Amino acid sequence: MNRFNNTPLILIAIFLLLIISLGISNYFSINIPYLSFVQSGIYNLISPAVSGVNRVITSIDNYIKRFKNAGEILAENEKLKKQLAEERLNNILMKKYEIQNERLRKLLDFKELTSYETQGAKVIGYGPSKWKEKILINKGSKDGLKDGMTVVTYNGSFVGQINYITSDSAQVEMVNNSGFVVAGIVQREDSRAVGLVKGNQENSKYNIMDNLSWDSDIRENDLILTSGLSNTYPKGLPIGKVTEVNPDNYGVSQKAKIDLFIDLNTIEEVLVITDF
Amino acid sequence: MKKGLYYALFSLIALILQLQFKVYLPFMDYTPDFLLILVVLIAFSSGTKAGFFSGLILGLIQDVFLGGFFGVYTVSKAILGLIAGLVEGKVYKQNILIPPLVVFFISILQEILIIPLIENLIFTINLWTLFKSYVIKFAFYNTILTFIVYSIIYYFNLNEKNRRSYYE
Repeated sequence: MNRFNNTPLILIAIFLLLIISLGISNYFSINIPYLSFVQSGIYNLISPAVSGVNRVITSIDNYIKRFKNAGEILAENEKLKKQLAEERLNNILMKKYEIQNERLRKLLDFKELTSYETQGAKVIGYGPSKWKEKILINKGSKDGLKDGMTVVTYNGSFVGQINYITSDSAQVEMVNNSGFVVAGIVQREDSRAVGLVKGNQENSKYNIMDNLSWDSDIRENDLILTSGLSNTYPKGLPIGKVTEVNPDNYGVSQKAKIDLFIDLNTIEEVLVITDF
Repeated sequence: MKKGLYYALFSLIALILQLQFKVYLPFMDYTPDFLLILVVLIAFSSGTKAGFFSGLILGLIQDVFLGGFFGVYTVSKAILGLIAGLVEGKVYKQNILIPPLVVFFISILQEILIIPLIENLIFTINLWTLFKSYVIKFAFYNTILTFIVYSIIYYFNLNEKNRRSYYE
């Protein structure tokens, strides 16, 4: 009678063989065409269920909220109506400034500020690991999104970049992911110091900005924007605020702690910049 | 066959819970690893082979949802499923404290396996601080969740058995 069960050993052997063969194919850059096909197949098979569940839960939640907060909604409606009237008035004033601005720009021969075309998307999930900060959104290549597009919040703060896309959903690598790097610039007119803003694995609430030269003018409360130097991301998107500046590399350079503008745990909707 | 379908359904539920946990509970620091818990429970009830293959498939799905294919989670979850399967037949399944305990150690083991495999991480981070501030908490969350899930499974199993013995 065979008292020893050798199934684990066989499994380990098959597994090692699989890892080694994949490692070799990776090392020699042998492209296995079926792998990406299988990958997108698995993703496409499962992601509709994820967004479907999200849709059902959101609609149930909205239905319950509608009943629960009817009074509050009415009061809010009244408040918003008043606010809208005020905003209308402001808008008229703004229009006046806009015309004036346009006229002055023409006088100075300034380049027109361009606004980007965006596509709104809902966050349907987060990456299934702490080590890769990602969000899943409910728009994909069907809606005109492409790999590498920049993602921002509704008030324009930098969120990250699309790095995996399928027909109706996409994965966004977030700015606080440990491997994420974006060139940042200090907003202050008399500084314009440039450095690299990197994700921080120890605490994902803030990022680190390094590669700042030892004499660069960076202070607490400075705003950090995307520099646009690499042409990967649009210029001027707000990333965060400096909370601490320290010398780095024994005083050869400086390092700053950046408090991110986005609240990474409560992003519900995002905008994808489609025409950059 | 029927068991396989159940496992597929549970896997889908676990994946959806893992992806959407933070969407509905944004105040929670960490997301428990629902997929790991499922792998351990499958291994615990069906042995090393089932543990290995469920780990392989669920790890692969987790890697796909991280934008890769056959990555760190495929490797680690398959190994951990296999290890968890070794417990099968050696302990009393009636003891509802054993699966949470197994999950606690397997969760720590998973992070120990994964951290060296993540690019740049091992050189930029204080490992002991990370262990104290994250790994232990993560394992604890998983343990609590397993205790709840296993208690529910155990209760239903018990009811089913009672019902059967009543009719027999």
